[in-house]
Amino acid sequence: MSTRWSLPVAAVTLAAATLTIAGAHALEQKAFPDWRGQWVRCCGGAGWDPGKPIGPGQQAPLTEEYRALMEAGLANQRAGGQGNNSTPTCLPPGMPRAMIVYEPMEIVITPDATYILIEFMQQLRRVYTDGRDWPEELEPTYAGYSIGRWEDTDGDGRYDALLIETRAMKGPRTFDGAVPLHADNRTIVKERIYLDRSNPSLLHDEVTTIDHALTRPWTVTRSYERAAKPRWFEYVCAENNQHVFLGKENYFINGGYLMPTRKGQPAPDLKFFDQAQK
Amino acid sequence: MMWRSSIGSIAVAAALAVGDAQAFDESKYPDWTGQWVRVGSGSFDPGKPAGLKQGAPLTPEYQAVLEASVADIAAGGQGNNPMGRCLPPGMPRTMINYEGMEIVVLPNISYILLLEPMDQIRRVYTDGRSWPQRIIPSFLGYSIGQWVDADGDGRYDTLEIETRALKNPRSYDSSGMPFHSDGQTIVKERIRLDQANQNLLHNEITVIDHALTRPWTVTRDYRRERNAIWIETICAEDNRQVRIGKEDYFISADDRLMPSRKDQPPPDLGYFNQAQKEGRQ
Repeated sequence: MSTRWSLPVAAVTLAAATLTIAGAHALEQKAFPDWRGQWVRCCGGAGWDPGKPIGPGQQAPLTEEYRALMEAGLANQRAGGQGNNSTPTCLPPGMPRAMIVYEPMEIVITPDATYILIEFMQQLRRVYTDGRDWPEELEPTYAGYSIGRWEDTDGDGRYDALLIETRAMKGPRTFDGAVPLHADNRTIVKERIYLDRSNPSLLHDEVTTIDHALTRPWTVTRSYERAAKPRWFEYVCAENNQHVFLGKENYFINGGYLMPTRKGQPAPDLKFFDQAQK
Repeated sequence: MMWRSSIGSIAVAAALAVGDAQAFDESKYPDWTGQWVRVGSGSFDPGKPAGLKQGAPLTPEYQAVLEASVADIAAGGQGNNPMGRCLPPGMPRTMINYEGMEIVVLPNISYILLLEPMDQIRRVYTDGRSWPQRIIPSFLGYSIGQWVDADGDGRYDTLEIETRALKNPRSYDSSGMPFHSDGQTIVKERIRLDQANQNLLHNEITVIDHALTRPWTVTRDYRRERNAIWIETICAEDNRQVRIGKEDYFISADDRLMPSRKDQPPPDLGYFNQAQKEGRQ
């Protein structure tokens, strides 16, 4: 399904982008910052705002409707369910949650696009920096469609910050394991990625989310440390996933058994087996 | 589990001498930008019919595994096809390139970015490194590449890749053509543009595996799409297959568990019985 965008706050003036890259294949990496290596989540928890406790402690500026949805999800999790959290079904976190960077990240810079490669569920973000405008129609995806613009904020002739806007996301998504995003999937995410001024092995991502589940844009800053000796490994969700969802019911696989995840949970309907055996 | 290869001593004599990773003389490298789309069938050898007719040079033991897989699939099961459970295809199957591929060439590394069954990120190191002493096995394996100027025009035109440290379960394609369970597969690739058509990429793939009686070489082709539209393929989004123990089941349109083959017994619900008894006490 394609989508068209209507949130008025979503104007990125890419026409004014200051990139002066002559050709799509003319690689002038000297103009770009050194963000090579492996980036590992640091400096806080796995809640969306790393400086605050998870759940209600995040103090997300949710509307009343979505605050109630979060509370219901948390109650479901306390009873053994997964609440609003879709990643146990091996769906990718999508944006902006992908930038929690549960497993390490690599950033590959080329003039026309920057690739953000995240090991957790092998997520790939393409951030187009070729001066393009938003396409008329976009196929929604969990990672969304991202357009970026490089800035030389300190005027030293070298880019030091990447500004990104991401649209056309698909659901279900949440900010983290608990805080929901609106079901209309009109989320817009704006990011500003830059190296710490005093520590070139510390990367910051200032992320602002605009979403109809929020009463105002919500900005948090996430940080990542550069690994001294990177070792990449695959995170394959399906490899060890023991969760099964049949409709809204979540069950657990243990060897050859299907198990309940909460007290008093009814067994799944096996009527098709009865039919087959008859 | 760490990996050490015992299949021969295949060394890549990487000859690149890129001093500064940031200084990239792109005129030395071929233009492989854009989106590469699969040409030919989804069987591993695109020139031959699927399954038993692929003519894979399997040992009798692994030929029997293939035949059992084909029979199981015919009966409604998943056979020896791990992708039916949303596991990644791994190497070399991922180079069938089900849903589109991008190749990002940098001096010390090339990235091969694929889409199916979720994003697949292959890192091909071209910095002249040797094989690490120990490698954690993965479905995509560990790849070292070497650029070659095959026609001597002063510009690289071919990327030779060797991939080791592969993890199981993998199969060559959906028929369940098997690899040896020892996980000692080695894959060699030779990727180059067609000499007459700059929008056609060839990948000559040679597999060395203890389930084979000899190395098996096939060539896969990819067509360039300049105006790329990238999609996401998320296997878990539409996956209706469930494996419980060794049994594959199916989830119906109304979200009920179904048998995947005739007379299949239902899963053991013993824990529900226990839970219900405990609830009554």
